[in-house]
Amino acid sequence: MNAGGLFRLHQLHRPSLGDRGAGALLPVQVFHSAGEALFALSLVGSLFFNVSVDAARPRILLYLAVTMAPFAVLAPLIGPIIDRLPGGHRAVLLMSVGGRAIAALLLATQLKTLLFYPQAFVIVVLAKVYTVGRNALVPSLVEDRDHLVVVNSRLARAGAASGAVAGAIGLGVLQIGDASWLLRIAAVLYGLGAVSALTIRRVGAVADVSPIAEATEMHGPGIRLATSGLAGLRMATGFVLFHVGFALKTSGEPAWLVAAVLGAGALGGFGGTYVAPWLHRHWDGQRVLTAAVLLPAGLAALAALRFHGVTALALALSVGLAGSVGRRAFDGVVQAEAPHATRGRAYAGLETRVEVAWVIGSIVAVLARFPSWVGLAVLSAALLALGVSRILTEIASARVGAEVGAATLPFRLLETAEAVASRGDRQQAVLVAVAAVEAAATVGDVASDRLEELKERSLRAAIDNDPELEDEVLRLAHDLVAESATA
Amino acid sequence: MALVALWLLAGCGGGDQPDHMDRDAAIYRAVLIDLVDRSGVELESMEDLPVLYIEALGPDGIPLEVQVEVVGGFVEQYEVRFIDTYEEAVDVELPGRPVPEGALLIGLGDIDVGTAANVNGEFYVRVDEAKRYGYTLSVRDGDRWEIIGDPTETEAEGLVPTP
Repeated sequence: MNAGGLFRLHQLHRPSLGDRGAGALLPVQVFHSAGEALFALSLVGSLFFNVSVDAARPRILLYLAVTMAPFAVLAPLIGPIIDRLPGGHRAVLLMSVGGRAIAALLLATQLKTLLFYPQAFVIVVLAKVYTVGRNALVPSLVEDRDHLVVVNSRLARAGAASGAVAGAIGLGVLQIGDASWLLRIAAVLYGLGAVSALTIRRVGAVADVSPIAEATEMHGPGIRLATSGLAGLRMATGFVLFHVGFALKTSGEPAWLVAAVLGAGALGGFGGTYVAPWLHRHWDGQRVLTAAVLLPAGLAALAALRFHGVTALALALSVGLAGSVGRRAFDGVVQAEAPHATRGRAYAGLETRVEVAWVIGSIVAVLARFPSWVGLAVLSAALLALGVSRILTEIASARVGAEVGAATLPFRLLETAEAVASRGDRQQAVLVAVAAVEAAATVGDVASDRLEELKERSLRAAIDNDPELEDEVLRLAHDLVAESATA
Repeated sequence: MALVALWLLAGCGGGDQPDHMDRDAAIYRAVLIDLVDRSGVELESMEDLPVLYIEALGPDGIPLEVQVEVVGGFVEQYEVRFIDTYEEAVDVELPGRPVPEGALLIGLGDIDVGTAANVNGEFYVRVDEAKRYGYTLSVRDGDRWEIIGDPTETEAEGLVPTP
């Protein structure tokens, strides 16, 4: 299929994502997920099942540790690339999906050699880069900010569906060939994904959003709480992948069961895209995230009591489901609490933390050498503790929220002023900033002469329509509110 | 930059290995072929590749590099699987604790190297069908290891404990 054909394909699917702006991501996601499924299936025919777990552990640990390093570098890099370079987001997706095509081709000849480990981890790292890049890109692509949750949900659903189809085809390929053919086909799919990334419309450099407003929103308590919940789920996913994989191998279970466990995780992810909207009709995002954390805690406890194929499948299904539901809840919280955050860098930081959590969970599983039931009990206890701490935090927030509402009003008004300024309406921003200082004077201590000075300057700024004077007023308002809080 | 570094590390991570790893792998391959032959199990008749489960007998274990070399050496004939515990290969619920049909469990000891290499090997089909042998090998033509004479048969020391 040439680039023109792919362009027509994404035109065809634009409405299905619910937002025209992000429509071009659909074929990239579909091809990437199909390649991902074949890559996962190819591991069944890899060295993983030929060498002993204890001998492989140091090597796996080394590469997991190495996996962390790029993320430490990528956190500050991906966002600015997306923001500053027109079409920079294409470069990130092209590099990650195209890189995976090359890596899959190389891995196809190394499934039974020591090069399997580093090359497989290169593919894993590139998958994380893709995830971080895509999730950071969606907010700047959507035409309507209210579509963020829907677009992410539909992208995940399309990816899961294409992964399931590719997985079924892959099983057929394994009947007539070996696992290396799965990687060659995956390389073709990744290649198509890279080509289709070229059809994503060019988004200009983001220049009119105040970084202060964005940073204020993205570091709010709600988003911090949601990020820690999602990071906990990703940590659990990494832990389950390695701990259950090792446990199944050392208990002599066949390779197809490990493939089925991977498939159950993907199936759970697919189901999550349908369950999440239903949950959101009844609960807010934070409560949905808490439920998502507690579900695998229960299944892990069950698997700890009696570990076998069925409980392993149920646990993988629940982790996939919880991860998907948690992701949708996280998107919902971001959409509601950070309405002005569109920069790639604002999202790349969060996404990177979440992916690093996956790596940490994996490292714990490899390093700890837990017996299967102990590892699952630890996982259950950790998720339960996270779930309970989230419930307590929500209760405390609800109780304190009413008490501190008045005290935080000046800050919330100031945030609004900065957000309004970031959209370019500086006159309105000045009005809101003055209101913030007046609110601070009501609940705190602001010298009346300074408040009068602020009002005078704001009036002059409005009459002269002077942007420099407006900026000065905004800075002064910021200082007065901060001083009032300190006092 | 970080990815380039990772890729470079990938190139270094699985490249050349010390000579003794190749030597140990060659010794184990020679012993494995002999043990499969002595077990009398008809592995070649199976539709899928027959499975050789291999467990280290010695306290040092078998290094990953050696395991990979052995796996690669038999990739056309056997599905070689190194294991950490016998439960990976044996159905402990069945009477006699047999290995699956079309499979063989083999134990390989540490290699004692002097002028010739000495190594123990053991095969296991079920609790009452297991034997241990002491092998002596010497190198021929630079890198080919051959078993010298007949191995010494001894009592199997229990790859799989009797229930």
